[in-house]
Amino acid sequence: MRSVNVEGITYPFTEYLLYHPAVGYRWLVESDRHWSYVTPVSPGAVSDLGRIATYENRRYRHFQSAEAKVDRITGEFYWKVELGERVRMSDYVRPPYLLSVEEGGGELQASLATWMKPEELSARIRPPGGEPGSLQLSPPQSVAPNQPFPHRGILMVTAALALLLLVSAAVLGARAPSRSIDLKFDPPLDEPVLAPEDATAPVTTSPDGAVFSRVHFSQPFDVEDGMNLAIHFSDILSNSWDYVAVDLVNEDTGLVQSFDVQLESYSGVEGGESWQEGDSDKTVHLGAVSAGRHALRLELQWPGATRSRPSLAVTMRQGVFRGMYLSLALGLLLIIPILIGLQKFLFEKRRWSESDHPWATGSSDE
Amino acid sequence: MSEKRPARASWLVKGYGFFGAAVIAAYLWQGCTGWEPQRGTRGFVPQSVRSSPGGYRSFHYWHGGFHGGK
Repeated sequence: MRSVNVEGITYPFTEYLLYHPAVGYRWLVESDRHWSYVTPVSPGAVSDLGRIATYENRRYRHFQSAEAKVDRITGEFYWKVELGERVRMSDYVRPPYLLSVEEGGGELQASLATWMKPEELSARIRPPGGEPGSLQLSPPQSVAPNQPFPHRGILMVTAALALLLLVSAAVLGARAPSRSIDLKFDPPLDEPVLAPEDATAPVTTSPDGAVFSRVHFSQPFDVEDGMNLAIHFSDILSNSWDYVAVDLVNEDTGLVQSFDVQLESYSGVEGGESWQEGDSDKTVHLGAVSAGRHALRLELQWPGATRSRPSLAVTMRQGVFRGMYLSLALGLLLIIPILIGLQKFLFEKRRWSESDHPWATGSSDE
Repeated sequence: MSEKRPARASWLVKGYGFFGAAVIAAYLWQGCTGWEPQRGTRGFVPQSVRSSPGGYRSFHYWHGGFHGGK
């Protein structure tokens, strides 16, 4: 057993020396319930020691340097070891690896530790009189210097999914015909109303005064199957409004889809500041309808006190690309990575809080 | 014991992969079928009513609609 003392706090760790004729000497190191499998490496292969160490073309970030002391010895060793022996130990991390360089007694030693899950280690160890996997190892509560973030690879999966989504969007966008449907209304939408009695529906009154109402039928038009419809309504409004009750009628089947649209635009100056509210144009998207001849029926209402005739314009397109659904899908794809990113931030914060460089949050997991 | 460990995706990463694939499949399905959330109401109107000039009034006509601005 060895320990390091950092700022008056002792951190013990236990090293188990293993031997296999075909493999040689290895160690199992336990520290705060974290287990690592340790392989000796040539100190000459480790370079650029400082904040960064390089081994086999991989960069390891400095984690901690401290003096380690031998506290307890049990069993046999292939080198002379003494109680109280001290070495200067520097650890560099690249999860799940920890590169450790020890300097003491005129010697330089280096080793590479690989973090292991307790259940992974238990499955590989056969305790005396037991079976592999029967050894119960307590799960760690802290974050080890070389413990990998458990959800590695999320960035790669996110990037792959985002790329796939963008390719899908490009394909959908390329095949969306966005076909314009020519609408001709009877009577024309901009036909003037000379008197309230010219309106085809009864004129009602509101606090704003008389409300004109008129019904317009479109000429029949053909709609294809499997494509959405985008109906755009716009008017030139100044402190006024339009209300349009719309029926899309399938002339073959009699299926009617009814909805309404409100256009309004108000502006003014209040307290020396100008304001504006309302939308004078709106687009309604309808799901695909069965192919066939259709017609639009508009029942238009507008305040007669402000306008003798509406200037409503209605256009229709079929098979339009919907950027909203792309944004929605992208948003759904990003929710989980953002939450995992937050978790990784806290994970790295905990890891580096035990190092010589606390609050550093960057670390490259493999 | 292996000296190098292969990187394995966690259950969350795998689950996210399936979730993301489902999102993209739903997006493609929407784009290919032209699906949109239903707007307003749907119903059937007999041919006789539709062909009768002035005889047909929309749902909104009989149920109030909008009769005022701001």
